[in-house]
Amino acid sequence: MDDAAIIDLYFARSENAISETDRQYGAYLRRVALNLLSLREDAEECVNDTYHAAWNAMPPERPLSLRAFLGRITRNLAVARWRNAHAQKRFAGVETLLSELGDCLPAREDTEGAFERRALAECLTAWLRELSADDRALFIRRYWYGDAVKTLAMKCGVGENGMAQRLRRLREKLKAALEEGGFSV
Amino acid sequence: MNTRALYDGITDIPDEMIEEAGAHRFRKSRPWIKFAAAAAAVAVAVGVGGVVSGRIQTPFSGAGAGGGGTAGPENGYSYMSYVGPVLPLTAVSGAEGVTAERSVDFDFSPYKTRTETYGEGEDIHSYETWDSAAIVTDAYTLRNETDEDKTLSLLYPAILSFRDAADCLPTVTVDGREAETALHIGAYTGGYRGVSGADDPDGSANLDPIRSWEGYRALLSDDGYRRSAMEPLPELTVPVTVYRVDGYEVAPTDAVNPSLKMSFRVDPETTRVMSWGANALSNDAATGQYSRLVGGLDNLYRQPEPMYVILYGGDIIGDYSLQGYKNAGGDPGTEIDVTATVTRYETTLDELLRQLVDEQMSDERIYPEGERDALMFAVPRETLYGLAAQFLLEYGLMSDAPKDRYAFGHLEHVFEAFSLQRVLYLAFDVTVPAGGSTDITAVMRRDGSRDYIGPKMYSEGYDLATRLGSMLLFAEQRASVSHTEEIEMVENSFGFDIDSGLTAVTLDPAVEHYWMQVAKKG
Repeated sequence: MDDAAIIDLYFARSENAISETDRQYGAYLRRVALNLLSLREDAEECVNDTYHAAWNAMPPERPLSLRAFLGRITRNLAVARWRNAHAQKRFAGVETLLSELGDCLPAREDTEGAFERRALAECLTAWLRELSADDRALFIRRYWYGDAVKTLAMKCGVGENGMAQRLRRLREKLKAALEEGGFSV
Repeated sequence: MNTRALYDGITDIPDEMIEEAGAHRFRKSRPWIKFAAAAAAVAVAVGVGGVVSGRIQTPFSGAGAGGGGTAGPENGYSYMSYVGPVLPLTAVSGAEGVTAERSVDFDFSPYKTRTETYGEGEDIHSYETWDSAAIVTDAYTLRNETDEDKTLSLLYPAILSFRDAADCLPTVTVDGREAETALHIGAYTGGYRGVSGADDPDGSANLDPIRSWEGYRALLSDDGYRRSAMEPLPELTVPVTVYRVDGYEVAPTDAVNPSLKMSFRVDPETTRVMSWGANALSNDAATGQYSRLVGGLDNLYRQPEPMYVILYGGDIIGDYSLQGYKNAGGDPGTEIDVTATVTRYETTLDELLRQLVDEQMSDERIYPEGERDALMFAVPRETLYGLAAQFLLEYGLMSDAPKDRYAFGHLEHVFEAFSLQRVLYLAFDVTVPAGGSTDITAVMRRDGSRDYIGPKMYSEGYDLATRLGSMLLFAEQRASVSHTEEIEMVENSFGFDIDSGLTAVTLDPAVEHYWMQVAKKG
């Protein structure tokens, strides 16, 4: 079943929408959730919550890419879950990603709109478009999908340290781009 | 902006990029594999030589106890997240004729894998977890070698942030009874630096926390830091004029992120402009034209917070204006109808800070209930008020030389005061009888120092200062590790060798600093 047909099921308020979503995207969502939350039980709950949120969102939402739409919900739920239970130190995936992303933070905010999520996404998007296809995919696989450094190293045929260095260079580039984009001095 | 905002920004990248990355097949650089194998062989040869030569140079190689020294690998150890060393007890007065024996144990039982559950009713789930932390017991026997009783004013220092204090503030006992202690708070131990990669040598836009032992040695080598920590926290009883903006009403619109901008003019020579709850701002000191903008006015999930514009030393000149916008850019051509209630009142900055600290502390999105309660238990609310005031006076807009990081006047920044690392001192008095002794024990949890990438990313560092900042005369110091079943000792300068059963050593009092790097087994 393609995306449009699955979305139609949501609009028809058919409970098959959930099972079809799970059939099509369950494995992918579990991978994203597990990358971020580390614990299988938490990941499973997060995916279930994703389905619940998708059910509430469609209608009226009619996403162009169901894969990206669902993945975004999972990421948002994962980070919320991490924040709420941070004291339990259970969510190594999100913690590691946030720590690494700390490298990219520009110094301070001083322009209107700098706080706006949309503006930040636009700046990120422009920066990503300038990267090579490999680097772009690498960054997104690490920081959107949450794929492990080790996994990416294997996919690229390099060592873990080499991959960590490559990601560090990408974060440094991003930091410079964010600063240039008015997100810092 | 914080890491969460960046995470959210990445979440929002275009669908096609997510799809493309998910399906992307990476080019494997096959020639590199051959080269890597050759390079690895060279690296092994060089590596072995390096290790051997390094061991020859360290005074504790092959030795069971003691050794270390300021030369050696610890000088190369810095961390992305450095917790700081366990510091020794010190005396402010009365220590003449008193000697101290010290015994420090690092108990690694938090590394033990445990099963925890969550959920309610029949929906109970379990998971396995552990903590990368040690329970440190820092025990002292003070001996009075004179023929008269000695009353000592003692300080037990611990390097912590306030948010850590809830879990990690030491418990001090004197002869087995919990001591009543007073808390004294040192300043932020780190500094500020300019923007990375920019020509900004004098900048202060980024935090620059201490990342290695050497930083603490420099900070605490004289008693200046400790003495300033004994000073009372300030109050900011200066008058301010406040404009509270709330009661937002947005006319029906298709705007993606309706916002409201308040624009006004002040005399920048006399007036300092701060704000709370603003999502964006502009300050033009040349023209005196300022603005503050609050967005997210159509948030379905929660009401937007009030925005406060706070003026110290002056007031708005003429009238302010309010204008709604379709988004938080506030750009011409994106105007929409938004109304709000603006209430002007006068108060003191101290009163306002208290209100805002209270509001912040009751926000469960920032301080989950358990964490807040623990923090409140560990640190009195009055201390938090004082700390916020101190932060504004030392680093923020109430300072004569505000740090770049805070120069734009977002009052939210005062809450960094609660998460920055400091030395907290627990003060208490003890009387050591003539010719007798008194036992003092501090027990605390210490999280490991960490690197997020690099060779130390899968292990944690723990370290100990033998005499830094202490006025006590130490006759002997010992160290031990316990409950080591689930850790491996990657490297250490103490001389521990768990596999050989060497878990307790006598320290060389001439050595200032000992360290170890441990990893969870498996």
